[in-house]
Amino acid sequence: MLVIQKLTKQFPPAPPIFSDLDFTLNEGEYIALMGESGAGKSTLLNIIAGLEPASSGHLRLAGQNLLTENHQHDDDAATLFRRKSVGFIFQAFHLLPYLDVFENIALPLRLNGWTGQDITARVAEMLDAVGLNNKASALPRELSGGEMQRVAIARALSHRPKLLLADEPTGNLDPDTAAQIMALLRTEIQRNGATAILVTHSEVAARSADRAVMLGKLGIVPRPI
Amino acid sequence: MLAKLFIASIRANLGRTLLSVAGIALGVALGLAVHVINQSAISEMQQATRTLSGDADLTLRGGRASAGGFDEAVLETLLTDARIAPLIAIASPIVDMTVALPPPKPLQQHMQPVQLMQEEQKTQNQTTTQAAGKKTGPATNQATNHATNQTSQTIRVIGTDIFQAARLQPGFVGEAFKGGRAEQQKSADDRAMPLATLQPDSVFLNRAALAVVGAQTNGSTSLSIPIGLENKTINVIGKIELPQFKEPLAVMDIAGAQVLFNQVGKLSRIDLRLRPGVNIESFRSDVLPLLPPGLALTTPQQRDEQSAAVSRAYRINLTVLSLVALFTGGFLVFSTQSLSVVRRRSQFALYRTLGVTQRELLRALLAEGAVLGTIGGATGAALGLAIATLALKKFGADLGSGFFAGVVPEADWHVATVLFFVGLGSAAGVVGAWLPARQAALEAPARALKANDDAGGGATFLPPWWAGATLLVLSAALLALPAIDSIPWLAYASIAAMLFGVIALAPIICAKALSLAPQSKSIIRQLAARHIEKSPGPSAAAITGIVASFSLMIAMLIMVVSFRASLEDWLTGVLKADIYVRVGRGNSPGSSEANTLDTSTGAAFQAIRGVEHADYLRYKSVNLNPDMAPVALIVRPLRDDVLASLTMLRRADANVVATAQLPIVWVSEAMVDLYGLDAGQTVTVPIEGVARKLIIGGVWRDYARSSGAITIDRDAYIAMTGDTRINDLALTLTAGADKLEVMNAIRAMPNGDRFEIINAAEIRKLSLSAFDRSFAVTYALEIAAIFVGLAGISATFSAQAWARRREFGMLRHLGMTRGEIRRLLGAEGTLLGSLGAAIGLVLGFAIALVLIFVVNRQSFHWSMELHIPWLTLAILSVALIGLTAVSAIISGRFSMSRQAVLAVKEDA
Repeated sequence: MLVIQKLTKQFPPAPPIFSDLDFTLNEGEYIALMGESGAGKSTLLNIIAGLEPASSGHLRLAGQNLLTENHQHDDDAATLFRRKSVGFIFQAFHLLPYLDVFENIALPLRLNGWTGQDITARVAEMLDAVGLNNKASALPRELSGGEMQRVAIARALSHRPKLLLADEPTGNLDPDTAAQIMALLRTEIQRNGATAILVTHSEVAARSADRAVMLGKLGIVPRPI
Repeated sequence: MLAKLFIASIRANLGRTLLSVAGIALGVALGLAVHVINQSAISEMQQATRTLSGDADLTLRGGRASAGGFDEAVLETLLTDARIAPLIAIASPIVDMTVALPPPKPLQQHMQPVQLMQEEQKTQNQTTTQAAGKKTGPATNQATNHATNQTSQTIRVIGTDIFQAARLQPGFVGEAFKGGRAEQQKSADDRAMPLATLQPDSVFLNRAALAVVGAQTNGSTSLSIPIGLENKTINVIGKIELPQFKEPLAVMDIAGAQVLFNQVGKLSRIDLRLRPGVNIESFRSDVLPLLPPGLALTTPQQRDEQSAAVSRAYRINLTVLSLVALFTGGFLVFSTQSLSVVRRRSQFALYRTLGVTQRELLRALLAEGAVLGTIGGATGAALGLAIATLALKKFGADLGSGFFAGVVPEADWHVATVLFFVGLGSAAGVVGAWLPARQAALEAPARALKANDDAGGGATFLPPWWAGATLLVLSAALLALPAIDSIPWLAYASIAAMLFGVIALAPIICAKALSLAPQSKSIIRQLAARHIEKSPGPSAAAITGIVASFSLMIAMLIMVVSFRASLEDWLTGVLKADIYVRVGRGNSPGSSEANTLDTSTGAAFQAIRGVEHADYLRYKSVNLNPDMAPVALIVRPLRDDVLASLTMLRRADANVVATAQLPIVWVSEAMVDLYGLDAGQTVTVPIEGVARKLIIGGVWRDYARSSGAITIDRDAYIAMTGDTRINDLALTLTAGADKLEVMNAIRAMPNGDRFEIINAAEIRKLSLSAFDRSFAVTYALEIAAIFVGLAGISATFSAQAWARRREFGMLRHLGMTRGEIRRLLGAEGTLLGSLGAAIGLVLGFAIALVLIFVVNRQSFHWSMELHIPWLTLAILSVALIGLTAVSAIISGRFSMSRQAVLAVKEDA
């Protein structure tokens, strides 16, 4: 699903954040990416998503080479790939405050050209999955933190992306809610057949993944959980 | 801490801060410059009037000085009536005329087109606002050049009883030139003896006149003054020292002046010094009834007030308009401070967490606004004074109205006035900073510190709907109230209430309109609409700027177009003849009594080949109320076709007129407003010293005389007064007659070069051209306001781009391309521009109605028809929407940056 070869990222004149990374992620796999602050976890996630150019190396996602010869992204191609094939979950939820729950979840569908009944049916399915059937017309400001993250999960998976990238999704939640969210996330990843990378500092959150890896000076190495 | 906050804000927003300061500076500069220019003109005119009146306690006048004056028997009454004479210490009779000097070589080719119809106006500085005659550019048509007058330098000639004047106006006592004729004739012991003045054909000139005439101080200069169809020669025998009077002035013996100007037995005014202990007000009330009707007794202060009142409405209108730029400058501060507050949101939250109170934070931010406003105000004040000084030197005091044509004063300003305008700048800064400051102070610190505040962080304060509704009700109520002291203060207040009311309601109106609009299939347009609908606060700032500047622009446009179209119709009506002829080429309108024709000369025009008929016109002025400006009396044949050509607003019932068995007069709208007259009523008018009872046949529109005009049929006037003199002739040509031939025939008449001949079509053209130039100042102010408004919109969008950076970052994560983000910004700009334009159009139309039907009527006492320039409105609306969209994209380019993508990770 995801093949990373000799990937290096540097913000000159600072030394490289990471260099010569090699990593493979199989289809349907759900991994936890851990590491110290500043190790480059979020940067790696951005490069994978096509939001950040790499300094050097190769990156193939779902059979598609996302880096050009000089390791830069074709921004529009990367964006359209991300729109269709990638889902995001953020620590800060990032729901559009002026859209209600239904519309927030429908957003990736609309961006991908879904219309009418297809949208209604899929959003209803996702609302049911995250347990927010009764909140479809609520605005984000009317939701709790846990509810907002549920909406974010529904939004991230609504268009059935091949890859889900979750960056500290429980960072703003209390432990009980965090546990519920991680359980839900795992269920939904599996139900939708997505491949997922979870960036987290939390051992508890990492345990929801199939396996964990550590990003550090030695590159990406397995980490026991 | 406050200073650090402020300096940090300046650094972070240097460009926008400077723009805010510039916006306020522009508003203050325009306002102060207009005020100083107008005030300088008023001061100059008042000083001139006071100089000529000397130490008089009162001045007795009859109508307009130049339009007939009054019988000199009144002086006899004052000096001999046992009830009056003991009260008077000095009575100084004056003949006061303004005449043209021979045109300099080469001739200056200027025209004064509308003045043909508004005889007397310039003397009293009562020309209409923009339509009024004034010096216009060179005529383009050769024939017109030949046909029209070449305006030359005018000179004020004062005829005085030097023995009285020596006590009251010592400045009128001249000093004979050494070796001159006058000096040789008088006793050698006192060259300044007033006796020299007694020579009937001799004048003393002030410095300005000497400079113009180029008089030789050896007494050899004689001056040829065109009076009527003659050139009369007078000798310059000396000079007078009146440094306060800067225009050309000549002083001569009153008897000589009466003969020179064909005014034997007539006086322009009598300046009075009362005996010590005589109460001036009691004198006025007791003595006036003992004198013939139509006379007015005024104190110097009243004359100052009257002089200022004539142009006051115009001056205030222009100042209010110039302050529109200041209003938009305040809006710019609002936008900049909004942006600044949004950017520093977490800083403020931190300060609050560390113990800064809401009040301290509010005060600090208001102080920022005050400092910006004060810097802008001070800069603007300096700029305004510079503009005023430069404009007065370069162009004189006339800003296009014609009120102050020819007045070239020094800049007259006071520290208090300058401080007031600086204060206005400070106030604009504080008012502009108020809402953002309040928003920052009231925000819960914990919320602002949280990164995940998607639930509307940084929401702008929105006034409740009832505040806007209350302002609209207040606006309507204010419209029902009359002007205060002839100034439409309450109408202005109504416009302000309407403006702020609609601005307060604008976000609600937008949200409602968008909720009712059908949903677009495009996700980009959907997102744009939903953002504006569901986040009215952030959109409000942009909408406010659009609505405020656009509505004021639309209001002015509709008003000006309506005024212009109405003026055009009016000109077509009043200029029904083909050619107009005035007696006394080159003379100012202030000398109509000195420049008249008799009927036999008038008949010669009738005999010219190609002339179908010649109407004789006569201009006088009358005093209906001693405390008000004189009213023009227009004498002309009032055949049915002439009456039909006037813009008649209403007519009296024919039976009422017939039953009254009185001479019929037709009054202008101003007479209705100022004197409460109307069609069908009777009015007593003092004509030639006799109170005449007349019936009003109807009310007509007059754009030339805001102090009022009465039109009477020539035959009826002659029957009353026996005065058959003629000031102007209106020549209607036979079908197919060649105008140029007729003009040449007039010039070939005896003294033909003494006629001012004007083609009616050219008058129309030049009058409209003068109108357009007059409103150029208005357009300039409006364009300035629009640009300030657009700058504000740009600041608002920048603030939005910053505040919504995580939202745009998230959309980029979800797969929106940069192009789609750009289109989203463009769609939001287009939507906001469309909503703002729609609301601005409606509001602008409403304000235009107030300007047309209330402000103009109360200010100038004339009405106009409503004309809506649909095409121009459509073009402007499209341009505004386009500019808003472009501004949104350019200002919001941050949304497409990498920073926005990374902002999703920001821990605000």
